[in-house]
Amino acid sequence: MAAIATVTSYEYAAGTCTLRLVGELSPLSQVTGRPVLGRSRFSLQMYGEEADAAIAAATNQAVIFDVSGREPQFSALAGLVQTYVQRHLNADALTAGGAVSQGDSAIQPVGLTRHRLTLATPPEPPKIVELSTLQLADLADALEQADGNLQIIPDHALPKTRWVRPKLPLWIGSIAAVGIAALLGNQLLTTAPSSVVLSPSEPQTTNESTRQLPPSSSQQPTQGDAPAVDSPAAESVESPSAAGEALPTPTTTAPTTPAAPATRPTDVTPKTSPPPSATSPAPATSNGTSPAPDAPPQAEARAGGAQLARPDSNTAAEPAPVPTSPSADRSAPDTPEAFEASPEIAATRAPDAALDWVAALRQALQQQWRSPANLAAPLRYRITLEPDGTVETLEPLDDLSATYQDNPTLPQPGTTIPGIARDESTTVEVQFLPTGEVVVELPDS
Amino acid sequence: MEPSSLSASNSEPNPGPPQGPTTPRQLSSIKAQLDLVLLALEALTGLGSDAMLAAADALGVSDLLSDRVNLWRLRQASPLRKGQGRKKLDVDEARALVLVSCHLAIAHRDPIRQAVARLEKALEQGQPPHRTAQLGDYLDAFSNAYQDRMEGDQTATTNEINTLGLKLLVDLLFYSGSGGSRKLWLALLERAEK
Repeated sequence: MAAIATVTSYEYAAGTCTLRLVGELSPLSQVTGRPVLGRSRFSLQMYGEEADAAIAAATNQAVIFDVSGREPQFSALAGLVQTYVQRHLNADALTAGGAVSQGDSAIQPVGLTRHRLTLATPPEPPKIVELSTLQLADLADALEQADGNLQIIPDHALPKTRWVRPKLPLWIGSIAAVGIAALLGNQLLTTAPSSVVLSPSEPQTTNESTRQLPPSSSQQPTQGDAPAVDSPAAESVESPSAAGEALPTPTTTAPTTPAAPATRPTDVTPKTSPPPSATSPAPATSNGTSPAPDAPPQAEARAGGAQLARPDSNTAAEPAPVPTSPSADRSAPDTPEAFEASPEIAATRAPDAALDWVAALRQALQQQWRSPANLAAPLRYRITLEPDGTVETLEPLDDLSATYQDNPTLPQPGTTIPGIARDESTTVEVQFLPTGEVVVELPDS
Repeated sequence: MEPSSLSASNSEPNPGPPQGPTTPRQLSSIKAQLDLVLLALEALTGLGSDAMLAAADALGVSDLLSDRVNLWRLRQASPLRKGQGRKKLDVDEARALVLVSCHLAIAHRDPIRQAVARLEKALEQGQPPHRTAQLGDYLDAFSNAYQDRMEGDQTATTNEINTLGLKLLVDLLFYSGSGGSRKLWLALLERAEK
């Protein structure tokens, strides 16, 4: 069975800039030596120069620029900034670097030390911000940190999955068959058997329920993959936003987020690193939605989910926001859409909080973690945290990790990690990388 | 195998007169650039050859930058400096100087950021940069050091030197960030093509 993708987030801060990246941790991370993210989303905030980014981020003050989007937009922004900065450095004079444009996005010098960044964000008007040289340097620094620490798989490079016939229609078909049989039986009871005619209008109710499927199916051809989205590779590629889009705001997409499981601390179970146990729709449905008997309600839910998934008609298809498969959503990097809060996706609030918690935990651990000089492979632990953030257990997941278990820069049992209090105890799997990075994996529910 | 030499810059054609009011021609030579980046760091932070040698040691390139004499020799390769001795700089030595420069820039990131912030503020307010204390000190130190050491460049005016100093100050900001050494290396190669 396909593995469940692990969603993780990374945050890079540099002076006046904070960059957050969220995505599925690819199994390729095991062989590349650094995290590889697929189906990633980014969120970028720039602050006024007076504010320290860490403080400003905590207090949400002085944000002068806020943009988020998907991988293609992130790559475009990174390329634009890095090209502009390098040209600026290559130039003989402060203003001789000239403007750089990519599509409808551009950066151009303004005076000697200011730089106007124009970001195309269709369908919205382009976002324009004037940055000081310090802010530009911070932006370039944050992008460079991300570039140096992560590898991001372009959306178009992700394997396309075969469209698997959605499983829902199977049981819908069964329901339809039962309904038809019931009607036939009714007819048999009330009319002569030879006069029973199946007219198109006969199984009206069941057809309607099935009819609700095609729109969502067509809109989300990967819907059927949702349960099988356990494997990141199996997840269909949402049709990427148009190549011409530079930095569209992620208005779309599934309200259900990978953090949906993360909102259930009680469901936390230890998860082995990257190839997690596969799940079937059944466990997913245990999250509260049962696909089985209630066809009409499910269909309505699916329709509602479809609406949630497609607040904009022109948005790329995303993995099914099927209520029955929040595990799928686990692998759907929709959480970044939470950056763009919209009324239709209020359901992402809870998953967004879980991601914030993950990010806070990761940051706290990373601040403390100092890789030993001779460490050649990541250390992996299962950490149980009490509601107040006290480390209850630090369980090594392999022999190497057991060797370093007493390292003082690891979260030792009895110590309290500030800023990560939750309602309940939580168990997470954490990787401490030789590069100094920390990867926090929330177990799947 | 003889390491590749960068002495070709000695035979570069005369860069010619400046192309505009703010065109530090001094940056057209890789060896000159490397020397000047270190000069800018010295002028801004007051660091000396000891700090450079310590950085080389920390970076594991002390075999190339073993002592003051060696360091002086490498910096003396700049066509802007007069003097005898070899004017060659091989690629490993250039790389060592790049790494040392960026290492020192990172270590002195705060004063660099401070200076650039003050420069921006001064320019915003329409004030001459040298009127700001830190910038004035930097420009004085840079100008004095340039005129003392770059005896091979007799034509540089005060305005030109100040412009060069400010350009290098802003460059140091980027070199002090992530990927700074790569940015400096690319800038060296890019300018050398001109």
